[in-house]
Amino acid sequence: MLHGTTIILISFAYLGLLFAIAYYADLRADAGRPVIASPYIYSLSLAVYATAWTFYGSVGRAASDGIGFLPIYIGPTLMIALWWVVLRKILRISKRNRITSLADFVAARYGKSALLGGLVTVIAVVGILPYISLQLKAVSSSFTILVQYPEIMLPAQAGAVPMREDTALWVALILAAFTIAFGTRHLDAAEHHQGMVAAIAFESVVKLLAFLAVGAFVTFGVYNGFGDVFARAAADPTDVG
Amino acid sequence: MGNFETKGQHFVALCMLGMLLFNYPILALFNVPGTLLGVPALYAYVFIAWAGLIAAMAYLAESSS
Repeated sequence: MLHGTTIILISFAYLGLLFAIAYYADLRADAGRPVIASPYIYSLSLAVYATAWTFYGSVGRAASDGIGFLPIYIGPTLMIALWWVVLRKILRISKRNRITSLADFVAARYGKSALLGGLVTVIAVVGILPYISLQLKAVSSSFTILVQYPEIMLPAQAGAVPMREDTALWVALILAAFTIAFGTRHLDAAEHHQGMVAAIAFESVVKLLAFLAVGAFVTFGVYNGFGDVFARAAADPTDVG
Repeated sequence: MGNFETKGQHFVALCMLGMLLFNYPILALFNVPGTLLGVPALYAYVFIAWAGLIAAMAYLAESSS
């Protein structure tokens, strides 16, 4: 049985570790010995697109569709093949025109139209809001599940909580503080946000281990190895994968 | 600079190959009951093709010519 305080303490310890990694990477960058120059660190940081919700979304899809969880990983792999051509060009244009945001980029391509830039910003904000709220929901749901364990309580049953007890709100505030501290202090197209990238790369290792743990638990804990998983899936007519 | 452009074209070709490998006609070929070392044919195919694509991209990225 985990207490709310224990979970919060562990969360803050983890966050502190991320801050420390980001701070250290920034120091190293200032000293001219960047940690993120390694292709391995850079590759790990790409897994930033695997969000908090990915753990529910991907595992849920794998459970209901089988192979249906793979396209969101294969798609990016195919796009990476185009980076040599596309990303190179985007970077070249961004550096030449000192562009730091998507809105500026689109606006710059169409005669530096301020109206277009504003429109892109509004669309991006409106588009990303539900996605971000889903991530915060994933974090607060995980918190609820952990606090209630060993009794399995799904967040929908937990009922409404007062605003100041809502984990999602606090998580949002802390994440905003992290981003401001390590992402947006100085905006420059040539800047690489080294601390941020290093922290994300470290998180990717944690995510990788978490996914492998889920895989190992399902394969060998819930079932009896790979053969058993596939045999049971094949025997179940409701399985479409 | 010519090498750079050729490499870019090779990468685009790899992307198109990937789209072909992970889409309907070819994917359907492997959606059969057989297994490879206990793994269903479709799963085995997707993972092997995926690994092959990544290996090809890595080789292309690292190659000097």
